[in-house]
Amino acid sequence: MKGIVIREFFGLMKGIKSILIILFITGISVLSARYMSSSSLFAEEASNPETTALAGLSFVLILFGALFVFTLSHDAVNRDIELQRIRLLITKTSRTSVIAGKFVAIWLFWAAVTMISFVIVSAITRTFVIHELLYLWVYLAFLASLCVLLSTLVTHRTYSVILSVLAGIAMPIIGLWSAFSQSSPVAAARYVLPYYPMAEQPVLLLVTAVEAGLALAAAVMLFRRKEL
Amino acid sequence: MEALTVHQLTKTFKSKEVVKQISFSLKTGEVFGFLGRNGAGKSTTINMLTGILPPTSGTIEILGTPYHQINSIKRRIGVLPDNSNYYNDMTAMQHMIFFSQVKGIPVRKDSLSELLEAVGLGEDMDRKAGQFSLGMKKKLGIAQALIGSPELVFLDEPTSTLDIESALQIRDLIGSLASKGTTVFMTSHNLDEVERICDRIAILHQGRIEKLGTIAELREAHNNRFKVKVKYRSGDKSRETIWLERIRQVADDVKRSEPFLELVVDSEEDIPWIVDNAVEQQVKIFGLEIEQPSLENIFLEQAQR
Ligand SMILES: Nc1ncnc2c1ncn2[C@@H]1O[C@H](COP(=O)(O)OP(=O)(O)OP(=O)(O)O)[C@@H](O)[C@H]1O
Ligand SMILES: [Mg+2]
Repeated sequence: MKGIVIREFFGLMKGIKSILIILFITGISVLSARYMSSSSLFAEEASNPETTALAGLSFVLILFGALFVFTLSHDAVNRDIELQRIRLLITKTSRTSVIAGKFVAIWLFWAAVTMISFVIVSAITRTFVIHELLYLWVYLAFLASLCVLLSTLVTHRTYSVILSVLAGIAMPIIGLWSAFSQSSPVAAARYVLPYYPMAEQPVLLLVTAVEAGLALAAAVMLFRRKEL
Repeated sequence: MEALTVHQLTKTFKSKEVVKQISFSLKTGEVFGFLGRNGAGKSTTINMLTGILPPTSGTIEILGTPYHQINSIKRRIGVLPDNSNYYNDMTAMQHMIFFSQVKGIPVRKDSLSELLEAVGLGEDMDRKAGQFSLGMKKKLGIAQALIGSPELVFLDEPTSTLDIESALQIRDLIGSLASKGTTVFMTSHNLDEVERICDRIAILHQGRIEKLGTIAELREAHNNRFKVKVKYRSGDKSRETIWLERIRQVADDVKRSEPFLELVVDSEEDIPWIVDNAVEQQVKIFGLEIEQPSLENIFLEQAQR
């Protein structure tokens, strides 16, 4: 599994897309942190759980996280299947390790990106709100597991890229709509998607974590039955 | 001890039965050749044995481990699948390191480069696989199958696409594996190669094993046995006729065009008998050429049915 994690992780690091995303995310976090630390209201607002130093980062990732994670990694699994490299992996390790390795790599990549932002923001604001970072990591684990499931489910990369864009846009819209309007037709989605937990009810992130585990288990089951 | 035991193994794609209840076993340290025409089911069988394809039915035991625990012995087997691709942006050496990590084997660069040298990629180990020719990719495929000195190696057409010299090198490599006690399961369309390196072979025909055994055993079971060409001179015409009549009792296809006589006998024992009778009838024998059925004959007879 180690080899797969390393290869996938550095593969993600290398692309120009990921560099732009990292710059964008770090930039936004720094700007918002600067704004808050210079604002005289900051001391007051900090006591409000809704506004913390990492608010900028969380905000960006809630809006764009799904799109970023899905479009960067929609081909994590099906790429190796399409390019006929998968046989060289599954004859060396279990199929579960292949899926787990891909998931861990994607999640680690995003954990690293957010960690970088967190360190910079903490330095600027001289605060240390680790729980906010942990919430983000749960949220990102959810996205990473869904991404691996998508990539296992959809064998062709042309389809998975289209789906990744559609899902990346639709998920936050549905999720936020359900989170903020109890009368909306999608209100039930607040308990399924991680947006309501992220925005309002962090305790519900437990559900999100369970869902991530389920998505990963589904991906493993699918992958184990695939004829490669 | 058996390195591999297969019982009633079957694979069905949709409703098409491609491998039909085959059973065989491999002894530790033997080189087993799996032959058959295109589409006979060789690769499908290898893919089932190595965990690439789930079998439809039947049982497999690899290195004393039941098939459902195959993950626990993947470290101890090596596989060159029938078609496989590589990472264009990685060098041969980087592949070897990556595959060692995937396999969970400590990375030892010196032994990895030894493997690359053994397959003939010594000079290309720092080139990217994206620039490799078909033959070079095949060599990389063989090298990666041998990472971590596996006890059982599956090689699907290890020498196809290789030039003659490289094929010989790989043939030697397989021979040296066997002498170190590695069990090898290989497919090949090169019968000469199979004849030289395989201890036993199986001929697969439309998903069934039609023949199985050592090459000597297959020869024995084969129909057209020994083709004999005799160069002779007779002293006495009537005695020659007696000799020829005796020969016809044991031989078929007797063709005479002096000073040669061609015939086909069922058993090797008939040859000294023919010579003894020649002596008795004062027929002088100047030369004797015996042609054993080649694997090719055996194979063709199989394939023509
Ligand atoms: N995934 C698949 N779906 C359906 N049929 C398949 C599949 N894979 C193989 N087959 C069929 O199974 C049969 C056996 O194929 P296989 O690749 O095992 O042959 P082979 O003996 O390895 O041939 P070759 O010498 O050409 O490599 C063929 O008729 C092939 O068309
Ligand atoms: Mg084949």
